[in-house]
Amino acid sequence: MKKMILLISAFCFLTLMGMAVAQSNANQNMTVLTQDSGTNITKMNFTMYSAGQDWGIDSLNIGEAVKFTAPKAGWNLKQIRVLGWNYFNETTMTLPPLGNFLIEVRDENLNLLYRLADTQNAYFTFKAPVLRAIDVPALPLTGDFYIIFYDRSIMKIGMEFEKGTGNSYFYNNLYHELLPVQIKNGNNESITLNWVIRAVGE
Amino acid sequence: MTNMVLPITVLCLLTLSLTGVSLAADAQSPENQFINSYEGNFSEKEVVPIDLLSIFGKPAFFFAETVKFKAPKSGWKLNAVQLLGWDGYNGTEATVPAERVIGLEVRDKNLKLLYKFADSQLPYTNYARNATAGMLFTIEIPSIPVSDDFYVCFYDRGAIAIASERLNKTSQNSFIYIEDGIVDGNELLPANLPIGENTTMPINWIMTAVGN
Repeated sequence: MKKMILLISAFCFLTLMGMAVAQSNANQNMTVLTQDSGTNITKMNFTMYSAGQDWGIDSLNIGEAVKFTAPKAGWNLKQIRVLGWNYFNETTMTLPPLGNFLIEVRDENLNLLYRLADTQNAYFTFKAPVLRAIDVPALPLTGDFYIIFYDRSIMKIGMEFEKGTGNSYFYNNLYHELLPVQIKNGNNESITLNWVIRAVGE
Repeated sequence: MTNMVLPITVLCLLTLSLTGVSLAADAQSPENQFINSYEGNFSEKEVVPIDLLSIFGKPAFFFAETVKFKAPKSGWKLNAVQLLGWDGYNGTEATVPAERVIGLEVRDKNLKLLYKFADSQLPYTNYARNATAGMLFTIEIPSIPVSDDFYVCFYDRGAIAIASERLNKTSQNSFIYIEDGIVDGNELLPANLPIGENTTMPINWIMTAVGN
């Protein structure tokens, strides 16, 4: 029972710490590559999005993709940060049903370089969306590369509404195609959106 | 063991109808080579869908449908594995599959692990494509250099029935790999499935290694 109380206390503490805990894993020498506006999350104009909203069952094979450029030759990707949330209800303290998200790293030609599938509850169980750091084995990258996050409708990821950089896409892994991420505003104008996914390395 | 051998008789009565055998993802690179575990055209074969969990029970969480392939040349890189499988979905609400976890391993000729991946079965199989029959599905792999013989081990874990062809004698390249030391360390067993007290059925897993 003592262990249970400790675990629950630790969990509550982590929940309160929220974003600060989730972002504290990288060392100071690492470079953070950002293809959203770079605004601090607490001030960012974003909403939470799940591919299932638009893609239904096809969302199992649709990922939120962001294109990055390695800052120099020999640069190693070591961590991926995703603004995400798993619908955890702090009031009932009930964990959502277990499901797998998937992260892929692909080169400029969309060849697969790295893949990780894991349960969403192990990473995104917070009372609110957090910029969650996920460590990956050092992956040497050159030129452009893509980080693709498949939420599979079991969680949501951050979608920024303004300052679109044009580097966010949907990726269909059945047909290996990138699709633009845009919405129409009230004036029928296209707005380019940013997925809040960041690449960290050195 | 008796209760483990019963389902196979039922499974043998099933045939796997084949749909969607040419998904776009099957050959991302035009340079890809496809190495099949079988000879001829599988659409002309008597194909039997098998999930090892149904046959062997809970221990089969550690059992893998395994095929030994030979790299066509040195420097060859494996980048995908294709299997023909069915997740149980037949179009009815009752057969919508629950999410389960499948596993894939690539091992060298000495069975040393080269790559390991586990994921939900749902994005790969027929339910996600609203198909009610077995279909070819592809699991991409970050390019792995393989040389000489290598093994692909697929852990169905009851989530997918994998297509196999019935043989008259024990296959030289299909096996059941037991991963967890249940029988004093990892083991590679012939793909002979029990169909009675003293009877087995040799089979060949339908599997393709893709690379260049």
